[in-house]
Amino acid sequence: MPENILRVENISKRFAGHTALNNVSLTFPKGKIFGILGPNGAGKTTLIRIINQIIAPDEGKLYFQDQLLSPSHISSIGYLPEERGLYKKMKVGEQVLYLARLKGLSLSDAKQKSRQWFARFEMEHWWNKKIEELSKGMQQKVQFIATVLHEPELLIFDEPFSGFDPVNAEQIKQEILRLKADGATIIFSTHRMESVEELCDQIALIHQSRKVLDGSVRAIKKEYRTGEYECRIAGDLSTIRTALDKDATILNIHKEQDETIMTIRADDGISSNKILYALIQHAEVHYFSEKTPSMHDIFIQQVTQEKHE
Amino acid sequence: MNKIWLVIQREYLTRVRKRSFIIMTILGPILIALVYGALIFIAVSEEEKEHVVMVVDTSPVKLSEGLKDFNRRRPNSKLRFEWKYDDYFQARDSIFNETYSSILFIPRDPVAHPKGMYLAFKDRPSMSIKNALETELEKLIEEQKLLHYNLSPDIFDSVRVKIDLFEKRIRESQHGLQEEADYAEQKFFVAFGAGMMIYIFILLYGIQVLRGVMEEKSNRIVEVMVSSVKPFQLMMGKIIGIAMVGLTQFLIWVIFSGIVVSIIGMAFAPSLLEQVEAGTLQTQAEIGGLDVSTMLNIFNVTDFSIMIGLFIFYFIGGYLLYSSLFAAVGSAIDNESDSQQFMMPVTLPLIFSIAIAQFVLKSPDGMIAKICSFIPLTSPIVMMVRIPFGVAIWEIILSAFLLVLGFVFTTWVAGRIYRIGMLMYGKKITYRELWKWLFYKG
Repeated sequence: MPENILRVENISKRFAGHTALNNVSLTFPKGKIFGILGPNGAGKTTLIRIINQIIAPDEGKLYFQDQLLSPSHISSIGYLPEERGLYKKMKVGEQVLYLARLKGLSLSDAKQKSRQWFARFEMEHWWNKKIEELSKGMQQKVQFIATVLHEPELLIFDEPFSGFDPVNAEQIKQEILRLKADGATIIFSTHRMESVEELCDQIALIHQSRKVLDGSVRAIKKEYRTGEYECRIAGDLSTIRTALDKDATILNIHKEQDETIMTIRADDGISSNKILYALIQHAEVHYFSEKTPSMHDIFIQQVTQEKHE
Repeated sequence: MNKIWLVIQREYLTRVRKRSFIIMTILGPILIALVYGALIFIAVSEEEKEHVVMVVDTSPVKLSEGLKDFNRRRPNSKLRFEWKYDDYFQARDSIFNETYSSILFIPRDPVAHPKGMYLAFKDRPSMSIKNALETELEKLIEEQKLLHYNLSPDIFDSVRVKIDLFEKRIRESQHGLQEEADYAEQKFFVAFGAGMMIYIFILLYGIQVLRGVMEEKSNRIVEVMVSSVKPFQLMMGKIIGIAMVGLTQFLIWVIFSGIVVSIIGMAFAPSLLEQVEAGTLQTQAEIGGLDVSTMLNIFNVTDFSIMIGLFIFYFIGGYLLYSSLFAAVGSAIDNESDSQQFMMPVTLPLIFSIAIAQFVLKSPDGMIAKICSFIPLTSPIVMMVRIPFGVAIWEIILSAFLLVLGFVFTTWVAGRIYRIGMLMYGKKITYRELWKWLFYKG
């Protein structure tokens, strides 16, 4: 079994007057959730359309499970685009069956599977309703079902949670995690990095048509760790200051009633345990946490760095 | 291929099951039948009223004798003559007290001065009454003139000649020269009818294609669709599906209107016949005299089947050519208001071809007719108009070949524009841009 489900090699795409993708290479590991992050207009949707064979790259190659990507792979991919809609006048059931059959499912398979999904979302009674009779949230659920019904190995969601209310978003999130547990590979594409950060195993940052960073979330965060900690303590301030002095710098300090809130940065080579030990000796520790940079912060840092280079 | 079939199915079924389709399909022929029926009904019921003419005859030649003879000859006619007064003013004075509708005044010498005759009425005589009256008077005065010159009516009848030149076409064949009858006037109807049908079908259902494409775009369903099917498949599926909807509707209409019209025809036939006999409906009967049996006589059987075959070919070819262009327009625009700018260049050649069809009818072998029957944008209509008048085989083959080439080309162009246009939102498109889209990869 190949470890990677999809490999993108040196993809470039130009439209009249601008370059949408510039020599982008990515590897998508099987069974993981992969986030393609970047601001609007960075080239994410172009990349996803190329993966879905909606448009062809000017240069570069794509491999699906080590085979050159071809129309025969369409049935192995499920795609929920950012610009998503349904035929308003069509009945919900018919619509889902139609989309599933276009992905290569037989009518009876499509019927059976859609019944299961409708039962799971408790929406059996929608079957004969017209799409235009449904609320926006309901329509989104229908779209979600249509995307996953043919049980594709690779699922691609472009801005998946935009337009969902928090309750539905949570439900969809759980379903996506369940699909991952069942072995599917998932690609998210979003400009709202915080919305998928916690779900992703691996990410790639796209900025101005180029890939600026990629790797596992854990590795990236480790690489970008700042050695800053936030702590809330109660105790004598001056003794704490002297205790910390040789190991760390206090960046920020203020008092809230009888509690002191501090942001400190450990000196190079000083472990969190050592700092915690120093604190415990002189004060009561209520809260101690490493300040990890958010993807957003990392992105900003990376982009500004590039500018200076 | 399987996918394109699914698309065709959806396009067909969703339209055919729509309430508006069912209503239009049923209502269409009923409306046609109602209009047709109403016309017949009006024709029949309006003529019911009897028109009595008070004749005031001051001439010595006594045209009245002839009119009395009319009363005897045509007892069923709605036109009746009466005599009571010798003076026009007496007749005029009592017109509102008596039943007669009008006064026919015959002057002293109607033969020399027929314009001295006039008809004064309180109820306007219908056109057919007036026609019948005039015909009768003309006949009587003619008789008087013949008497004057001492000619017998028999001689006069034999002198009168009506020329309706019989036309025949000379053809070269393996068996030497062959001649065949040519019914130009009747062919005129067939030719124009065929051209008109193609025009209406293309316009009606081409715009449906445009609408359908725009709907998919504005519903934002299209990106989901093109991740499963090729844009070209989606476009062709829609075009073919809508064509089948159109054909279904046409077929139902033809069958329905046939049934309804014949039922109405049968119901009204006796009273119609009566009127034709009575001479008041003569003119209408002559106009409607082009019945199916003479129609079939115009063309021999092989010619007729070839014509039907060519009709279907140009019908489908023309539709494919234009509807793919309509699809391209629909994909390139965001909203209805922009559609005008891009619709114009597509509908213009269509309107142009139906406009020049009349010139083509006048000279089916003329220069304009020939050129336009080769250009794929105009050939579906123009060639169809020419065919009933006889067109050389090589011309048909060339025109058909160019049409096939034409729609392969337009569907290719439309497909290129479509796949880019469908995913393009919130941007005003220029022709320059459309041109660039043709050369994008993928």
